[in-house]
Amino acid sequence: MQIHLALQDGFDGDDVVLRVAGSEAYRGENITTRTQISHAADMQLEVPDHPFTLEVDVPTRGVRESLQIDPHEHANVTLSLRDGRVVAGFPEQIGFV
Amino acid sequence: MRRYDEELELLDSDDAEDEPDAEVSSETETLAGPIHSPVSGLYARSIPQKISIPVGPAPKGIRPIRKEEVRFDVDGRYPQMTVSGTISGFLVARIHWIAELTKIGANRWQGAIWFKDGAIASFPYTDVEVTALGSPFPAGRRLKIKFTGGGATKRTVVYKFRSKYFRTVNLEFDFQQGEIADTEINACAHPNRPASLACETLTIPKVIRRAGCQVTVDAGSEVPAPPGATWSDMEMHDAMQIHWSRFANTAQWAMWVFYGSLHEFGTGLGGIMFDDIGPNHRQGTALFVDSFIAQPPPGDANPAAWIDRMRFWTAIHEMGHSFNLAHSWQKTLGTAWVPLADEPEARSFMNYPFNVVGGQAAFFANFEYRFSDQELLFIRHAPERFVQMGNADWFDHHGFEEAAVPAEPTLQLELRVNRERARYEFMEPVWLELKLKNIGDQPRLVDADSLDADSLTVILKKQGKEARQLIPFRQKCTQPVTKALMPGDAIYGTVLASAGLNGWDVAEPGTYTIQAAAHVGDEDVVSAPLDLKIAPPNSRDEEYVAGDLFDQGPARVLTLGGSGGGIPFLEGANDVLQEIVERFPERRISLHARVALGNPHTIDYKTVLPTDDLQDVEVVISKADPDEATDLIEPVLVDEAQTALETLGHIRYRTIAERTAKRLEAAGADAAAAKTLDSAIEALAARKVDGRPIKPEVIEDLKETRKELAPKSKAKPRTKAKA
Repeated sequence: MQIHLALQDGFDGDDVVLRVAGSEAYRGENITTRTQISHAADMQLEVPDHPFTLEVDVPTRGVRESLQIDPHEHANVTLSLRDGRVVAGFPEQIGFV
Repeated sequence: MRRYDEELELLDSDDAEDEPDAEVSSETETLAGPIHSPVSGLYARSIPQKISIPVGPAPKGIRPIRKEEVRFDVDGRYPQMTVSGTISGFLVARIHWIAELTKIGANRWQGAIWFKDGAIASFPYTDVEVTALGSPFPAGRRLKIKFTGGGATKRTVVYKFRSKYFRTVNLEFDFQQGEIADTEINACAHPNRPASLACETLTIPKVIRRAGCQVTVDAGSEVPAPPGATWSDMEMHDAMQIHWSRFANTAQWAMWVFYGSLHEFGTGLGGIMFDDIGPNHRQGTALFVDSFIAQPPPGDANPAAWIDRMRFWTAIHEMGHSFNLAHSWQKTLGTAWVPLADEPEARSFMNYPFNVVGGQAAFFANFEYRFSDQELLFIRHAPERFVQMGNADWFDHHGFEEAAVPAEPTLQLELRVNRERARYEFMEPVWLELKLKNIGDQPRLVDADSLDADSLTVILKKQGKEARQLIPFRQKCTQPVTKALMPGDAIYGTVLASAGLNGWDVAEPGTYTIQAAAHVGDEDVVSAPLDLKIAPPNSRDEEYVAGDLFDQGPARVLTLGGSGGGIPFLEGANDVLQEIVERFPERRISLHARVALGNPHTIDYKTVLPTDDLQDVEVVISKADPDEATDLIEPVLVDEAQTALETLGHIRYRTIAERTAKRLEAAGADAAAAKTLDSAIEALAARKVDGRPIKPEVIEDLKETRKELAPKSKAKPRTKAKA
């Protein structure tokens, strides 16, 4: 199954690696937030149809965090960098304005 | 006739845009009395400028005040219990302040000033007390504000009502061919809404008015669809330049709102304030009517109304970005104007409905078609440059945006440095020369002191830094003398740009742009910008000494022509200048230092000092010491005459030479006096800049002065050697 994942605020020329259940699912370089739409990148990620660990690695910031995601509860995931931490959100819908 | 203003919930009649100017109040309580009508809105006090007529009370450094506006926000729709003000001097001298208010009586409020911006050193006040006189007639409304605190003398000003709105903004709604710019909705069309929501036709201008901005709307126009049917940001920016009737590369209270089909981003982008291109951002916004904002959730009770509402919300959300509002959850990111709090659950135009707990259904169940309080505070009360569309950083590139320059000027102000290239040594004081010339065909009346430093506005900008205003050390208080300037005639002046009450603004190595304005009646005569460079230091020793030189004491001594000493504060400055003379004799700063050190020795110098018991003051006179003066000044005016002409400037060189000669003669040093003038005449006669010689009449004047010294003065070598 898939989830919609968006990298939102706080990215500024960063490298971002996402691992789903230990496997690399996304790698982005020079990821930068366009603040007026709170968008840095977004993608559909193939994920297991059961709770899994999402590992977020931002080597350009020395940030690495893991999140538990249940794709049946959270089909939409947003990730932002704030104060050196990854902050996750689970909105009803992902869209940008 | 009184009428109810539904945007602001004010009982009102017409605006009073053209009311005559208010006067500065006396201390009477003429405003007392109960209020029966709303008082919020924009109040103003504008000052008609007259030559040299004081217009106070003005904060120090903002002389003269050109305009003063106050935004009073205590009633009507969404009151923020705030009063804010902007005090504008000529050109860039601006102060912005904001105070939070508490009601203390029927028509009285008080509060602390919690925000200041601009020339805040000139505005020490910490508290305000506001008294309002409401009236059903706008022309009758007054606001009296008493500024106190900060160790300053109390300042009381009365303002007249101008508008029930705090700002005025123009909107133009253009649309892609085949689409429509739908700018209104029925607030109650969708069943999911606050129970208390008034059922009305809401329009975008109405929402913006409720935020406190008067709105004017220009007719929209159709924009051809782009190649490929989707829009890139650059294509929209191009379309804005072509189709927006008010497009200009400048800051203005106007925005372009574009209704397109889809962005190249895809259906996931519902709208964007695309205008972060070029020098003037936030002028253009767009929404995409075929994006996800046109996709209601499955099973929605009224899909058509949902789409209308989402489109309406998106348009105003993007317009909020044009007002420089961030998303509700982004308030603590980036550079906030004041410390803000994130509002992730706010029912604001700036929040994403689908981000809140409970999703869009929960959002719209409580959404009242408004901005949050901190957003309203920003729109209504933040400094204009933060909010206005297309504006840039404070004073950056807009130093003279407020200049009242006539279409066909008859006066011309020239700013020059009288050297081939505007390059200065490190530590070399930058003395500017100014020439105000009548280029018209009729005589003009000007203040004789129009080119004195405290009469001018001088803006100093180091490359890569914000511009600053020169605040001179000396403020004159003299009877104005009006001078008739005949066609072709000019008056001249000099000003030290390096340092003032703000410190040494033109001192560090780098490139600077300097611009000046003289004020003649209501007219601002603005010079062309002058670019100059300051070289880096030659040695670490120079850097060390510069640390002492770039201080208030040496700056005052250099500006005021020396200090006779006895005053501890300025004695230290003299020590610094003396050290420069001894350690860096080949550097140009040493010439300035010699003049400043030598000048007090040309006269019987009076110093007012406290008596030993500190119970009184006494005048101490140091007798003139022409030999000491000559030792210090002669190397400048005689031995290094050409260098002195360049670094002191022609006007100052001549002034110093003439003054020194007269004083030396008066002190009995006739020969030194004659030598000084003879050298000055010779140096000026030989001087050319860009091939242009000194005006002959200048040299003739000096020769006349020399004749007045003769025949008793004949130049000859001095015999007295300095011990």
